[in-house]
Amino acid sequence: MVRKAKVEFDEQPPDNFDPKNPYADPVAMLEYREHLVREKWIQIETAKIIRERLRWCYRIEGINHHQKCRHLVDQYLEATRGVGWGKDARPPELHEPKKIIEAE
Amino acid sequence: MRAISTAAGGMLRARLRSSSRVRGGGDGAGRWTTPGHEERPKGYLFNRPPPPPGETRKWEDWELPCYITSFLTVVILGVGLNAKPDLTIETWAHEKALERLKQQELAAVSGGGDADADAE
Repeated sequence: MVRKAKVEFDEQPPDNFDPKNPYADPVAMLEYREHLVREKWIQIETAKIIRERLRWCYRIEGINHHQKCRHLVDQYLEATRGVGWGKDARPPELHEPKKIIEAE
Repeated sequence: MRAISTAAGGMLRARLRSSSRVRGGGDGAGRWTTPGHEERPKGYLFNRPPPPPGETRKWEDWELPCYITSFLTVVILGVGLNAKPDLTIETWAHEKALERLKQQELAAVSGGGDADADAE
């Protein structure tokens, strides 16, 4: 028995899955569902990583964190859209998918 | 009726007399003890008298396999659980997230105007 030191998942959704006709290929549908779950996990971990960076930025920059950490704050808020539990108590514009506002 | 009452009283008195006689006297051990009873502890650890001078305590038959098994258990768990590979999906997702963040940063650096494209 060879011990595997790393687990590997396919990063692409299954090729033969048709959203309009999900039950045409049940196996592809299940694989697509697992793919969605993995994508959500990656989203969660991304938000965690940015949150850790933001925490360190606050500590390092000290009193200047309002200006210096602004980009990380924006990035973190974007990363937490639709991620995690307890989204009901957040304003909709912070957790719904971002609406593309046409700039002037 | 008088005769029956007198007989019963006599029987009761006889039984009480014999009981009192046994309680007071007897062989001196008392009614609360059993053979081998010790009145007070001797002071030996684990109630085992020390071996004669110049000799050491002999191991009992259960001690060798018990000690060997315990030692092996500690070693196997200590080494094995530390060497366990991390195959949880959290770790996998963490690594993937780091890779994607790095790719986004590279894309943002290479294409100056692509900063807005990174937003979801």
